[in-house]
Formats: sequence, structure tokens, C-alpha cells
Amino acid sequence: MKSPHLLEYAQRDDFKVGRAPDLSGRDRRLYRILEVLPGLFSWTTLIGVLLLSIYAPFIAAYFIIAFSVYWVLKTAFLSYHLRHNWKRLRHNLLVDWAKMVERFEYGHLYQVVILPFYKEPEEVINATIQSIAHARYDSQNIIIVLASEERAGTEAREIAERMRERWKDSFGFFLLTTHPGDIVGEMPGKGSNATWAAEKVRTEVLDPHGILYNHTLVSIFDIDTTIYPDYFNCLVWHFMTAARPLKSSFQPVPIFNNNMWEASTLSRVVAMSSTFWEMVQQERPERMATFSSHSVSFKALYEVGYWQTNMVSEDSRIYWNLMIANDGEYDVIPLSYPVSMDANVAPSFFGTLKNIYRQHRRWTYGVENMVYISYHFTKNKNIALKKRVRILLQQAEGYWSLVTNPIMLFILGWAPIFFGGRVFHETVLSYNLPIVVRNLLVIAMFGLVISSIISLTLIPPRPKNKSRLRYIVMAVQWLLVPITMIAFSALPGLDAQTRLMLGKYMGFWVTPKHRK
Amino acid sequence: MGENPGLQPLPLRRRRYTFFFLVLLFVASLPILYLYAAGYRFNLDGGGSFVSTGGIYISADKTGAAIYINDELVRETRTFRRAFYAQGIEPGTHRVHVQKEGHHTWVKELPVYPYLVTEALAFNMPEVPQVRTISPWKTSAGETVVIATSSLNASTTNDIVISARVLPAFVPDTEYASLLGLFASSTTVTEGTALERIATEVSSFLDNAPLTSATTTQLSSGVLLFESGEGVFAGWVGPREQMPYYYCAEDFEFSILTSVEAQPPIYGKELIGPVQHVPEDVECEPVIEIDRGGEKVHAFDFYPGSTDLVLLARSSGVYVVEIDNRAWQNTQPLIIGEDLDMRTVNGTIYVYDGRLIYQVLIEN
Repeated sequence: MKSPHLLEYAQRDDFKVGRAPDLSGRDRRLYRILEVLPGLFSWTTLIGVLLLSIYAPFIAAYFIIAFSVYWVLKTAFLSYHLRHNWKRLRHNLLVDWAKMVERFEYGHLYQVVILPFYKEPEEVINATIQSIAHARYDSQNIIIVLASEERAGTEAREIAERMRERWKDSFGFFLLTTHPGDIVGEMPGKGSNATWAAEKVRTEVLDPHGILYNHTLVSIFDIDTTIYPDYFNCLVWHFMTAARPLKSSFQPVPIFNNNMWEASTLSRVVAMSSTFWEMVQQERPERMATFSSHSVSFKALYEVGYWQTNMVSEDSRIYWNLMIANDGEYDVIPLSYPVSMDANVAPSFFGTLKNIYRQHRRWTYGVENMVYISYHFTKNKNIALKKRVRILLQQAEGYWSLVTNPIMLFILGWAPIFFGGRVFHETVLSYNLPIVVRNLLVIAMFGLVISSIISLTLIPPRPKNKSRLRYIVMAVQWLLVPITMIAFSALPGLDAQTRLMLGKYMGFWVTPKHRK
Repeated sequence: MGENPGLQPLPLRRRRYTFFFLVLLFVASLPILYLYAAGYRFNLDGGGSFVSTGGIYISADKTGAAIYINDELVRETRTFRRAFYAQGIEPGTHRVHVQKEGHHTWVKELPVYPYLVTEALAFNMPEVPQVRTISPWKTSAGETVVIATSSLNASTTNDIVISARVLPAFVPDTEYASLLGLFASSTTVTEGTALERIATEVSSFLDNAPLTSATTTQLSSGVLLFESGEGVFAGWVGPREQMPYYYCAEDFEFSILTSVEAQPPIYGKELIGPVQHVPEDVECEPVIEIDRGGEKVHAFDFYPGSTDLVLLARSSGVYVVEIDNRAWQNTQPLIIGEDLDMRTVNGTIYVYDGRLIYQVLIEN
């Protein structure tokens, strides 16, 4: 049955395809091929470099040198963006956004905050709601939707009830929703929960109170997201000044620093690396998709039927849904304003490592979005060809480099020396290869110095029970980047791409939130 | 405060300029790095042209040793830095020596070819070797009893009691008795064994007499050590592609330091491609005669843990000789003494002078 509120393209049966088996006939075959391609390219690259090292070590050596130079320059390029965004982030934290939005008439704007949760601890949820309650914004225009899962059991429901009792008077509306666990065709996860909650807020709050959809901004936050006081004012300013506010998503910078002083060294490096990547993206919005916590107008969401309920990485997929349904006329606007989230912390060190790996595998499973984009780019010809090609190339390069670059740089870079054979081994090139690559990597490491300095400015104040020496550890922890890039970026990425390639589709894995 | 927050995102134009600048940098730096990595160096003396160079890789077996190339100190070896790679070396012959106080000096002249790295393994034996003396008798306290003084120039590490005669309190040393058995026999190649067939095959390269029947033949990691006539030979019997660099090495002019560009062996100067490969169809005898100084050899074996060094028990003592015969073979005495016999057991060297057995302690 067609839903008239949906955009025309969003009414297609295959608009919210999650995986190849959702389709049939030629479309299914096409989608399946597209699912195979990312993993195939990555594996071909890695095996190709290995084979090249064995059978054509000279060519492999020259390739590796070229690749190392590319890496150095790429690091410089990204550091340039990172540094600028860092300056902008700090600047935006000092801006009086409440004053900035005074010139606008924005009293009609409502802020819906959807907080999907599963079995996270009460203190995590409480801290998130508390930060929203302390925001410099008319609390009567804030609608909190605490979205629980039926399958999480009565304990989660009880936590939600206690939260409502504690905070209901602090906001205009405080809605509890419980996502049923038995809806056919849904994958249990954040997307299905959020979609259920969005429809509930529409039917139980917006419509009964006559709140217009285009006057409503939805912020979907991970449950560990604590906002800074001016988040909504910053959001409103960007919304009011956007070229097409109802055709835009608004992306803050997720800083995984809530529990930075409790997190292990590896966890801190991985978490801050994710933050830095988002900061870099903030300076090149044409490559951005929404990630994790973000905001968008309710109208835009309603026009595409909210989030997909049948796939893993719904936070980015919603952007692609919106972009494709709007024939490419849709933007992501970087806020360069932070929200704080949790770094991965588990009760044990190995538990943390396992959680980081799983979380990053889920994130890198976002490669399913590339399949989705590719598929719909063959269908929606209203999107300019140039734009389709550019986006595809950017996405392909992104997922390919995520998986292959660290492995090629830190492992396969030495392959010709080990597998090149005697003829190669006796050459000056063989001896100079590790020297040249090592020196280039050392130059690239200067980018880490910038990372180290920036990271120190983003950590919360030191708790009294933590030694000052921790600052030194936090400064030098960036030497672990080669390890974290392989263990928590390349390998989970390769794992995710391989699963997709083999049709072993992943489900949603909820990152456990644990605070010491 | 104005209508916008003040600090704007990076302008697209500036990002593009930066991007194109980096692309230019990539394109410009790549050929330079390629040339550098392949051994080319810019030569201002030669009219500002690129010249092809080679390299020398020297690894030493001792820490605290000094490596010299053309009499210039280039490295003092440490625990994790026992080797030195010198690049940008002009093609020609270069003199390398490795020395350590209290040790014999290793000296060699090595050819350097364009695009290639010449490898060599240096070794430095102590001038006064350390030994543990094992005699037929020991005291009840476990001290070794020596009935007569030893004539060996060595420093013994165990407690020794010198006695003019065998006293009733002395007890026989069972270690001595068991080690003596080693010296009573040798591993003889018997007709039809696999080792003999290999040895015979390798020996057939030589114009010398057929394989001596009483030869003690050793095979280790593709290197066969065998006696033929009066001589001792090392032959490569492993896979051709794994053959060490000094087998089938080209003859070169040594003892004269020259900067004249030497020709690489067998092949030309291609930047990419086989440059020092010894293909199957090239006639080459991977057999090297070990320098025995014209003396008769009583026993020979690989130096423990090495297939590049050989132990020779000669008339005047036990010597360590390198197989690498480029320029010359370095020979260093392990223990000086007349008609010493020698055996190695599980990486330990034992020397027998007819009365006492000495375990030679190898330092690193």
C-alpha cells in the first residue's frame, strides 16, 4: 500500500532494501553482486600485493614506496582539516549561541530527542537526560522520547519509568515507548526502535498538540550522549541559516570522552581516532553522511518513513535514504559543535578489546550503505550523474582504504623483502625499501603529534583520584596508532566486508555501556 | 558578535589548492624516491648527473666490534645492531675490516656493483680463547686434576689442581671417558649412503682425486663439507635460489682500490629485473676449497651455528676459516697447538691434545 506522505521515490518497494534476499529477480542478482564487490576488491588488493611481492617484487617495491608517499601526503591533508576543525570546534564552544539565535523567530521550533536504549545502566541514561535538561533552551519546547525495547525485559522498563518520574517535569513532554520485539521483517536494533518511537511521538504528541512536522527537529542520540548547554541553540542557528533546512541533516562532532579517564589506553586511542575522523569530515561536508548522534527535521524523516528497520548502520543509512529520495538534493550540515559519548569500557581489558572490535565491525559494516547507494544510483536517474559518480568513488575509496591501507602499510609493505627471493634480495632496492618506507612513516607520524596535542584539549578535567602522569600517557598513547589501525579498523572492516561478500549478514550488536 | 559564528569552515577553493599542491608533491617526489631507492645518487662532480651506486652489508658476530669501510669507522656493533648497511657506495673494490680489542681482525676486499648489495659475514675469534679443561681425573670436590701443565695458549675457566702424579684420592672423570670416545672414531661415509652420493657428485666437479673413503663428511643447511684428496671443500647442494652469495661469485680485481665501475656479474644493468641471478643453464661449480694453509687437516666441521664458517684441525692448531673466498678466505686460530684433534657435539667444540680435552667456550 502506498503511503501518500512519502516522497515519490521513497514509495518504491525496494526503497528500504536491507540486503539482497529482500529483492527478487534481476534486482536481487544485482544487489548480491554489489554486496560481493567491496570485499572482493579489498581481498584482491591484499592478495595482489602479496602475489606481486612474490612474482614481481621490484614492481611491488615501487608500488609500496608510492603508496607510502601517498600515505604521508594523505596524513598531511587530513591533519590540515583536523587542525582547522579543532580551531572551529573550540571557537564554537565559546560562541554565545543563545545570543546568536536571538535574531530569529524560533519559538515555534520543537526539539524532539529520541533516546533509544536497550539494557544500559540507569546512571548512563540519567546523565544523558540531565545534560538535556541543563541545555540553554526553552525546556517546554523539548520532547523527550525514551525508547525502550520490549525484549530488554521488565528491568529496562522500570528504569524508563523511574526516568520519567524523575524528569517529566523538566520538559514539555516526556514520552516512554516500548518497541515490540515481534514485528515481522524487522531486525532488532536501534533503527527499528527509533522508527517505532518516531511514529509514537507523531501520533501521541505532535498530531494531538498540533505541532507541525516542519517545526520539529528530531535529535536521535545514542543513550550515552551528553550534550553541551548550547547544542539546541547551535542547531537552531544552523537550521535557520541553512540553504534548505528541511532538506538537511545536522551533524555534531561525537567526542568519545565521557569516561576518558576510566578507559584503557587502547580504548582512548580508538575512541579519539573516531572523533578525529568525524572532525576531518566536518571540514569536507560533501563527503559526509550522518553518523551516530545527529539531528534532522521531522518532516524530512516522515517523508521517507523514518529509519530503516531491517539493517545495521541506520545512522548513516537515513542520510542515504533522504539523499536518494530527494533526488540528490539533500545535505549534511556540520555543526562543529560537540556532543560527548562513551569510549568503550568493559569490566576487563580483554572485554574492552572485544567490545571495541565488535563495535568497529558494526560501524564498518556501514559498507552495506555503499551497496545500497550503488543499487539506487542505477535506479534514480534524477540524481545528477556527476554527483552519483563522485559519491560512489568517494565511498569506494573510503571503504577500500579503511581495510587495505593499514595492512599494506604496516604488514604487506615488508612482503617483497620476505618473499621477493634471492634476485630481489641482493639489490639496493631491497635494502632501501624498508629504510625509505620507515622514514616516510616517521614523517607521517608527525601527524600523530598534532593528534596528541588536540586530544589533550578534548579530555574532560582530571578527576582527583587520577594521577597527573596520565597526561603523559595520554600524550604518548598515539604511538599505538599502527596497532589500533590494524586491529580495530582494518581487521573488523575486512571481517565486515567478508561477511557481506559471503552473504553472512550481520545483526545489530549493542555496545555495552559500562561506567566504573 | 556578527550574524555568523566567526570562524568559517575551510573554503572549498583552499582545500582544492591544498589537494593539488599535494598531488604535485606526490608526482614530483616519486621519481626522486625511486631513483634514491634503486641506488642512484646525484653526482655534482660528474657534471651534475645521476650515477648508479651499490651497497655493502656487513654483519659481525660480536658486539662491541668496530666496522670499517675503506678505513673509515662506520659502525660499532651492539646487541641489536650487529650489522651495517652502507649505501651509495661507488662501484669498485672496497676494503672492509672488522676489529675488536683482544680479537683477531677480519679483513676483506669486496666488489661493489651498481644496483646490488654485497654481503659479507665478519667473524672475530678471541686472541686468547677460553676453555674448560677436562682431564681423566678429578678431585672428590670436583676440581679437574692436571697431571702435567698444558702447552696450549688458552685461558681455562674451571678450577684446576696440578699434580705431579695420580693420587689415590683422585677419581676418574666420566665426562672425559665419554668424550674420549668421540675422538676414537670418525663418522665415515660408507658406500651407498645418501651423503656419499651427494659428496661424490659434488666432488666430480673437481679435478682432484676421488672422494677419500675416510672422509668425515658434514651436511648442514644445504652446505656439504667434504674432503677430497688433501683438500677440504664446501659444496652447495641446496636449492639453487637459496645459494649463498659467495658461491659462483665472479672473479674481481682486488688489492687495488679502484673507482672504475665494475660490471655486475652475469647480467647487465637493468633497473628492474634479474641482476645477479644464477640461472640453471649457467655453468657454475658451487664448490669452494677451504684454505688449509698447506697443512694436513685432521678433522673438520662447521663452526657451531654457522654454515659460513668451517673449523679445521690442522697440524699447527684448530682454525676457523670462512667459506667465502671472495678476495681471500679469512682464517683465524681458535686454539694453537700441534696435532690437535677436534670434534663438535651439539654446538660445543672439543679439542683433544692427546692428553687433555678442552671445551672451547664460544662468546657472543
